[in-house]
Amino acid sequence: MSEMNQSETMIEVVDLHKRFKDLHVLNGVSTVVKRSEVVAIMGPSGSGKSTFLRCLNRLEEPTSGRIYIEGVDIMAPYIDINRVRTEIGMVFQSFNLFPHLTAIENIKLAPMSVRKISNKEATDRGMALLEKVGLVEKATVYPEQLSGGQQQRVAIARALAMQPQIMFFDEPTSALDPEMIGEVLDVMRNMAKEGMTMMVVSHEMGFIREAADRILFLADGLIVEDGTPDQIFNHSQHERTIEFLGKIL
Amino acid sequence: MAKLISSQTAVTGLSDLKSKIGHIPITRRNGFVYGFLSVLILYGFLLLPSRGPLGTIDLGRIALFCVLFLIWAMIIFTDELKSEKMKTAIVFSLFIVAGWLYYQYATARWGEMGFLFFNVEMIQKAWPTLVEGFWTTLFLAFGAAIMSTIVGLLLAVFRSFNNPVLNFFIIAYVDFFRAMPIIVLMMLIYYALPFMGISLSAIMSGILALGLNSSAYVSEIFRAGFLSIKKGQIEAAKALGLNGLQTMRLVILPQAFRVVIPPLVGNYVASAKDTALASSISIIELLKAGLSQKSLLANPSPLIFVTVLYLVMFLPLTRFSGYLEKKMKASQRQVRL
Repeated sequence: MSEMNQSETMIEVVDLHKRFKDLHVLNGVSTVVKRSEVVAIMGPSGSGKSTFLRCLNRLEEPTSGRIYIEGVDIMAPYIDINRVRTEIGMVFQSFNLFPHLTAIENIKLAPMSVRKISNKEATDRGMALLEKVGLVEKATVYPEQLSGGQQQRVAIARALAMQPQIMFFDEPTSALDPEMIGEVLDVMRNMAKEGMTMMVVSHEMGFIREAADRILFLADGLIVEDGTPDQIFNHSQHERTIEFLGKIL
Repeated sequence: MAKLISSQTAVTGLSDLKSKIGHIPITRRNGFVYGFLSVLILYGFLLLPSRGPLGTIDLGRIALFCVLFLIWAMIIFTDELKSEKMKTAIVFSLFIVAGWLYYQYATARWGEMGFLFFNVEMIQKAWPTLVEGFWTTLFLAFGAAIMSTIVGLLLAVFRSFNNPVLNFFIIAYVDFFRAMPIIVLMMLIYYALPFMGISLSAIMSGILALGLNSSAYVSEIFRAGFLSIKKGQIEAAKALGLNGLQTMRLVILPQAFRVVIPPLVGNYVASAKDTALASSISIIELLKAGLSQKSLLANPSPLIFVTVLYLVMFLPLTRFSGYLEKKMKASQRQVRL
């Protein structure tokens, strides 16, 4: 990536609010994510991390605020949100693979139906992605026969098959057994190295310290701290952050 | 010390056993049971009336015999010390004695049963009409199944949009047709609608009534199928950029179909059985064909044949839908593992 690309703004969030009836989940979140940046989102449970991420591709409908993806206002009334979502890959805590399809069919589904590419091309691309996540031999296997870690890697390949500009990870390793977390984080680490713009809700300290450029620390629906992993982990000024890190370390 | 305790327990154990034997009630001892049986047999030979018109005292004797026989059977059947073989024999003997009593005293024309119920000649005479009725029944069943599937699926899809106004009408539709007896619906369509200028043929009225009723159930089945799909599946599809229609076609429907097939087959079978109701609006389906031939030939054999035909059609189907349900539950268990 060139220097100019590095400074290009991918996501801009301005004063984002989300309310579920009486519950104020997001209280005015604003931030900017640049191309190839890896942003970790941390915070105590109920702080609005997942909701924040899910608002950015409008899986949750924000109550108010502006969101720009590659300069496009995705809250505008005329916007085709499905088109926007093809640019943002998303990986869920519970994998959400389609159980009636094999691994390769899971990966091919969206490119063939949304991007309208041919079966052969989709298969070739899908197999390349499966190779990338180390699961070529599992191509024709159904999700229920895969381990949690393998399912999550297929889910990552499925998201990448749409060739998105941005990847969202919503607690990708929280539902995994400890011995499977590593294989998923390895795949994510490689993506970060290749320059993918990533937003990751996670508490995997090792991964964040190594791969993240920035940490957003959320509490009560607000960004209370925004800094590099070193700043947050070692020189945090905010008592909420210090208290939280003290609990998980 | 240990010796003392063990000898003591041995003694109590023995006395336990003794008391148990001592406590077998007299009614359950073998001698009593066989004695009772001999009394029953003697009763049967000496006191049961012969065939023919029965007086009040005769009926009383038969009833007393039945009661005594049942008491004897129950004494053995509820005795845990008696063998399983003996209990099986008791069950068979109950059937045999009941059958024998019925044969002996019911005023049925047993000798003519072959001629009346299983008269091949009569069935042959009725055959062309019965075959026609059979095809009409099939036509009704398939017509209703196709109509109810299309309408029910559409209703369930519309319901999944969660539009309050649309939902109100769909719920009203479902409630109305589930509450309405099919035979009333048929008569309304066939006999009342013509007054408004809507005249449907009998067979169309039948299909429409059956289809309207069945579609209400089918829509509920599909709705349950849609609800069984986890929210994460739809979110994953959305996040990949699939629009609503693509999500429905590629993600929700294929998964929902697997869930709904067993209850759907059960519903088709129930609906197919209801085709017999169409005989009430002058459709000559299988039942009506059997009935009319019975009247024409003054012999119930065609009707018996129709009964057998219904059983031949629906016994395997009910078994099949039960099998599907079992298989479905087994596979769900597997997925959860």
